[in-house]
Amino acid sequence: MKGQERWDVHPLKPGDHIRVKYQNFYHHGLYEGDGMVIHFAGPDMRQLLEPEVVQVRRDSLDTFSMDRHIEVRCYSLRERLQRRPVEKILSAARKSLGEKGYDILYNNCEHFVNRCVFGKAFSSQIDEMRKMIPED
Amino acid sequence: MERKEMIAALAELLCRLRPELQLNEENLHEGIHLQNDLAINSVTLLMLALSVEKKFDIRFESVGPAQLQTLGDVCDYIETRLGK
Repeated sequence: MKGQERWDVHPLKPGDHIRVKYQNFYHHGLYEGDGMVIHFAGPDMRQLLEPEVVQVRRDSLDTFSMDRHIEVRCYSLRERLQRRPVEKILSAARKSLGEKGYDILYNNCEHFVNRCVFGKAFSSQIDEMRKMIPED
Repeated sequence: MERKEMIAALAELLCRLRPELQLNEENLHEGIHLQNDLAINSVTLLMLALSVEKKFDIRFESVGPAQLQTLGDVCDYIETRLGK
Protein backbone atom coordinates (compact mmCIF):
# COMPACT_ATOMS: atom_id res chain seq x y z
CA MET A 1 0.00 0.00 0.00
CA LYS A 2 3.06 2.20 0.18
CA GLY A 3 4.91 3.81 -2.69
CA GLN A 4 3.79 6.17 -5.39
CA GLU A 5 0.15 7.08 -4.93
CA ARG A 6 -2.06 8.33 -7.72
CA TRP A 7 -4.69 11.01 -7.21
CA ASP A 8 -7.16 12.30 -9.73
CA VAL A 9 -10.11 14.66 -10.04
CA HIS A 10 -13.38 12.97 -10.94
CA PRO A 11 -16.98 12.68 -9.72
CA LEU A 12 -17.14 11.32 -6.19
CA LYS A 13 -18.55 7.96 -5.17
CA PRO A 14 -19.39 6.87 -1.60
CA GLY A 15 -16.33 5.37 0.07
CA ASP A 16 -13.85 7.44 -1.95
CA HIS A 17 -10.69 8.56 -0.17
CA ILE A 18 -10.44 12.28 -0.89
CA ARG A 19 -8.01 15.04 -0.01
CA VAL A 20 -7.53 18.79 -0.29
CA LYS A 21 -4.31 20.75 -0.06
CA TYR A 22 -4.35 22.94 3.03
CA GLN A 23 -1.31 25.16 3.52
CA ASN A 24 1.68 22.80 3.48
CA PHE A 25 -0.27 19.57 3.97
CA TYR A 26 -3.08 17.53 2.54
CA HIS A 27 -6.21 17.04 4.59
CA HIS A 28 -7.87 13.65 4.05
CA GLY A 29 -11.44 12.43 4.35
CA LEU A 30 -13.89 9.77 3.25
CA TYR A 31 -16.72 10.71 0.94
CA GLU A 32 -19.91 9.31 2.47
CA GLY A 33 -22.30 10.28 -0.31
CA ASP A 34 -25.05 12.94 -0.55
CA GLY A 35 -22.45 15.70 -0.27
CA MET A 36 -21.15 14.58 3.12
CA VAL A 37 -17.62 13.72 4.27
CA ILE A 38 -16.37 11.90 7.36
CA HIS A 39 -12.98 13.17 8.45
CA PHE A 40 -10.67 13.59 11.43
CA ALA A 41 -10.63 17.34 11.95
CA GLY A 42 -11.25 20.25 14.25
CA PRO A 43 -14.37 22.42 14.05
CA ASP A 44 -12.19 24.75 12.03
CA MET A 45 -9.35 23.64 9.76
CA ARG A 46 -7.05 26.12 11.46
CA GLN A 47 -7.39 23.96 14.56
CA LEU A 48 -6.04 20.83 12.90
CA LEU A 49 -2.81 21.27 14.82
CA GLU A 50 -4.61 21.49 18.15
CA PRO A 51 -5.12 17.78 18.95
CA GLU A 52 -7.50 18.37 21.85
CA VAL A 53 -10.30 19.79 19.65
CA VAL A 54 -9.90 17.34 16.78
CA GLN A 55 -12.35 14.48 16.43
CA VAL A 56 -13.88 12.27 13.75
CA ARG A 57 -16.76 14.34 12.40
CA ARG A 58 -19.26 14.48 9.54
CA ASP A 59 -19.23 17.67 7.51
CA SER A 60 -20.48 18.88 4.17
CA LEU A 61 -18.19 18.61 1.20
CA ASP A 62 -18.00 22.42 1.15
CA THR A 63 -16.79 22.57 4.74
CA PHE A 64 -14.25 19.84 4.01
CA SER A 65 -12.94 21.37 0.80
CA MET A 66 -12.84 25.04 1.87
CA ASP A 67 -13.20 25.90 -1.81
CA ARG A 68 -10.12 23.91 -2.64
CA HIS A 69 -9.61 21.34 -5.33
CA ILE A 70 -10.76 17.86 -4.21
CA GLU A 71 -8.59 14.97 -5.34
CA VAL A 72 -9.65 11.32 -5.26
CA ARG A 73 -7.30 8.44 -4.50
CA CYS A 74 -6.87 6.03 -7.43
CA TYR A 75 -5.92 2.55 -6.31
CA SER A 76 -3.59 0.04 -7.94
CA LEU A 77 -4.90 -3.45 -8.67
CA ARG A 78 -3.22 -4.76 -5.51
CA GLU A 79 -4.79 -2.01 -3.44
CA ARG A 80 -8.21 -2.64 -4.97
CA LEU A 81 -7.91 -6.25 -3.87
CA GLN A 82 -6.95 -5.20 -0.34
CA ARG A 83 -9.57 -2.48 -0.08
CA ARG A 84 -12.64 -3.29 2.03
CA PRO A 85 -16.10 -3.22 0.44
CA VAL A 86 -17.65 0.27 0.44
CA GLU A 87 -20.30 -0.56 3.06
CA LYS A 88 -17.58 -1.79 5.45
CA ILE A 89 -15.48 1.31 4.83
CA LEU A 90 -18.41 3.60 5.59
CA SER A 91 -19.53 1.53 8.54
CA ALA A 92 -16.02 1.78 10.06
CA ALA A 93 -16.03 5.54 9.50
CA ARG A 94 -19.50 6.03 11.02
CA LYS A 95 -18.59 3.94 14.06
CA SER A 96 -15.61 6.26 14.60
CA LEU A 97 -17.68 9.47 14.68
CA GLY A 98 -16.80 11.43 17.81
CA GLU A 99 -13.52 9.57 18.30
CA LYS A 100 -10.61 11.67 19.56
CA GLY A 101 -6.91 10.95 20.01
CA TYR A 102 -5.60 12.89 17.03
CA ASP A 103 -1.83 12.75 16.74
CA ILE A 104 -0.24 14.33 13.71
CA LEU A 105 2.53 11.71 13.45
CA TYR A 106 0.68 8.56 14.54
CA ASN A 107 -3.05 9.09 14.21
CA ASN A 108 -3.85 11.83 11.74
CA CYS A 109 -6.62 12.35 9.16
CA GLU A 110 -4.85 10.10 6.63
CA HIS A 111 -4.27 7.31 9.18
CA PHE A 112 -8.00 7.46 9.91
CA VAL A 113 -9.07 7.11 6.27
CA ASN A 114 -6.63 4.27 5.56
CA ARG A 115 -7.77 2.47 8.71
CA CYS A 116 -11.34 2.59 7.40
CA VAL A 117 -10.36 1.62 3.84
CA PHE A 118 -7.75 -1.06 4.49
CA GLY A 119 -8.17 -1.89 8.16
CA LYS A 120 -4.62 -0.65 8.66
CA ALA A 121 -3.65 2.87 9.68
CA PHE A 122 -0.82 4.54 7.78
CA SER A 123 0.05 7.98 6.51
CA SER A 124 2.02 8.20 3.29
CA GLN A 125 2.42 11.92 3.93
CA ILE A 126 4.32 11.26 7.16
CA ASP A 127 6.19 8.26 5.68
CA GLU A 128 7.44 10.48 2.85
CA MET A 129 8.63 13.08 5.35
CA ARG A 130 10.51 10.42 7.31
CA LYS A 131 12.38 9.52 4.12
CA MET A 132 13.39 13.17 3.68
CA ILE A 133 15.19 13.42 7.04
CA PRO A 134 18.89 14.01 6.43
CA GLU A 135 21.14 11.16 7.54
CA ASP A 136 23.62 11.62 10.43
CA MET B 1 23.06 13.86 27.69
CA GLU B 2 23.37 17.22 29.44
CA ARG B 3 20.83 19.93 28.70
CA LYS B 4 23.42 22.09 26.95
CA GLU B 5 24.44 19.20 24.70
CA MET B 6 20.79 18.56 23.93
CA ILE B 7 20.28 22.17 22.81
CA ALA B 8 23.37 21.88 20.62
CA ALA B 9 22.08 18.60 19.14
CA LEU B 10 18.73 20.26 18.37
CA ALA B 11 20.49 23.19 16.74
CA GLU B 12 22.43 20.75 14.57
CA LEU B 13 19.23 18.99 13.52
CA LEU B 14 17.62 22.33 12.70
CA CYS B 15 20.61 23.46 10.66
CA ARG B 16 20.43 20.24 8.63
CA LEU B 17 16.80 20.92 7.86
CA ARG B 18 17.33 24.63 7.28
CA PRO B 19 20.98 25.18 6.31
CA GLU B 20 20.50 28.95 6.12
CA LEU B 21 19.95 29.17 9.90
CA GLN B 22 22.83 30.85 11.68
CA LEU B 23 22.91 29.01 14.99
CA ASN B 24 26.16 28.91 16.92
CA GLU B 25 27.39 28.74 20.50
CA GLU B 26 27.11 32.51 20.97
CA ASN B 27 23.48 32.87 19.98
CA LEU B 28 22.19 29.47 21.09
CA HIS B 29 19.87 29.40 24.11
CA GLU B 30 16.77 27.64 25.40
CA GLY B 31 14.52 30.62 24.87
CA ILE B 32 14.88 30.65 21.09
CA HIS B 33 11.35 30.64 19.71
CA LEU B 34 11.02 28.24 16.79
CA GLN B 35 8.41 30.22 14.91
CA ASN B 36 9.14 33.81 15.90
CA ASP B 37 12.94 33.71 15.99
CA LEU B 38 13.71 31.04 13.39
CA ALA B 39 10.61 31.31 11.17
CA ILE B 40 10.11 27.55 11.43
CA ASN B 41 6.93 26.56 9.60
CA SER B 42 4.67 23.59 10.28
CA VAL B 43 6.52 21.32 7.82
CA THR B 44 9.93 22.03 9.34
CA LEU B 45 8.49 21.58 12.82
CA LEU B 46 7.23 18.13 11.83
CA MET B 47 10.56 17.31 10.21
CA LEU B 48 12.28 18.40 13.42
CA ALA B 49 10.00 16.11 15.45
CA LEU B 50 10.83 13.18 13.12
CA SER B 51 14.55 13.99 13.29
CA VAL B 52 14.40 14.13 17.08
CA GLU B 53 12.65 10.74 17.14
CA LYS B 54 15.48 9.25 15.14
CA LYS B 55 18.29 10.96 17.06
CA PHE B 56 16.96 10.28 20.56
CA ASP B 57 15.09 7.06 19.81
CA ILE B 58 11.81 8.35 21.22
CA ARG B 59 8.26 8.68 19.90
CA PHE B 60 6.94 12.19 19.47
CA GLU B 61 3.30 11.61 20.29
CA SER B 62 0.39 13.35 21.97
CA VAL B 63 2.02 16.71 21.61
CA GLY B 64 0.96 19.75 19.61
CA PRO B 65 2.89 22.74 18.29
CA ALA B 66 1.48 24.87 21.11
CA GLN B 67 3.57 22.83 23.57
CA LEU B 68 6.72 23.07 21.47
CA GLN B 69 7.37 26.75 21.05
CA THR B 70 10.99 27.12 22.13
CA LEU B 71 14.14 24.98 21.99
CA GLY B 72 13.72 24.60 25.76
CA ASP B 73 10.21 23.19 25.26
CA VAL B 74 11.57 20.57 22.86
CA CYS B 75 14.29 19.67 25.39
CA ASP B 76 11.66 19.35 28.14
CA TYR B 77 9.65 17.00 25.93
CA ILE B 78 12.70 14.86 25.09
CA GLU B 79 13.64 14.64 28.77
CA THR B 80 10.10 13.59 29.67
CA ARG B 81 10.13 10.87 27.01
CA LEU B 82 13.56 9.70 28.13
CA GLY B 83 12.24 9.55 31.69
CA LYS B 84 14.72 12.07 33.06
